[in-house]
Amino acid sequence: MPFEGRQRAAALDHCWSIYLSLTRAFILPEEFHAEFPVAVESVLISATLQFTVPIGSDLTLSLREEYVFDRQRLTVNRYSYNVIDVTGNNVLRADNLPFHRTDYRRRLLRHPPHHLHDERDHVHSFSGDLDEFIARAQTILSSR
Amino acid sequence: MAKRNPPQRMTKKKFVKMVTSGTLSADRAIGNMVDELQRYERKYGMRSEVFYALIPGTPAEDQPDFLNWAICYRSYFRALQSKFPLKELSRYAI
Repeated sequence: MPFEGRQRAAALDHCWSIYLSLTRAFILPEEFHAEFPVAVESVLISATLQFTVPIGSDLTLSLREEYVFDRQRLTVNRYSYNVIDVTGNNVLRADNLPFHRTDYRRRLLRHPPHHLHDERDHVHSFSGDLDEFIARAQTILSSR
Repeated sequence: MAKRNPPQRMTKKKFVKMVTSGTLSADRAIGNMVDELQRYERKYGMRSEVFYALIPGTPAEDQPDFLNWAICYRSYFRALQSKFPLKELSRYAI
């Protein structure tokens, strides 16, 4: 197992906080409540959380987080958050790849390497916080 | 028209119980990752080993498929390592 003892507990706590954030923000299909624990089981095997869930009639949220332990602290090494429409277009996506230093207006990113891509693939500042991404996804959902 | 009730959120106790129940075997988890890697390989006409040597660490990685492919590839190796710990593999060392 990639994680043992306290590391497993920290991973479970982190995934539980993701579950709370999602269920507070969106009305999710009933299947998700059964499928999410299985996705979390995979974290204990591969140190990666990955799932896709519909968040509205025409939008899907896809989340992938890869974890490492820095001493005893769980860290998200790499992530990819995506909101995808019915045609498969990325309406909003965020990641922490270190290839952007400025946004689309050439202003420095506030929290590099974290950044967002909008529907036109313009780069924006992003804190790296999943709750901020969820709030933006909610805004998109309510504007449709 | 009756209002649809949102599905009940599970409790943390139930969540921990479900996660630790052992529904997902390492074999199934690895199988799912192999399926995903093969989907990317077919889509881009490239073996995962070649993709991983060429794309991650370059700006080309900043595409959803490539980012997810790279993460999936690393996850696959971690899952394999958890199934075949180094100690067990060492008996095959020359």
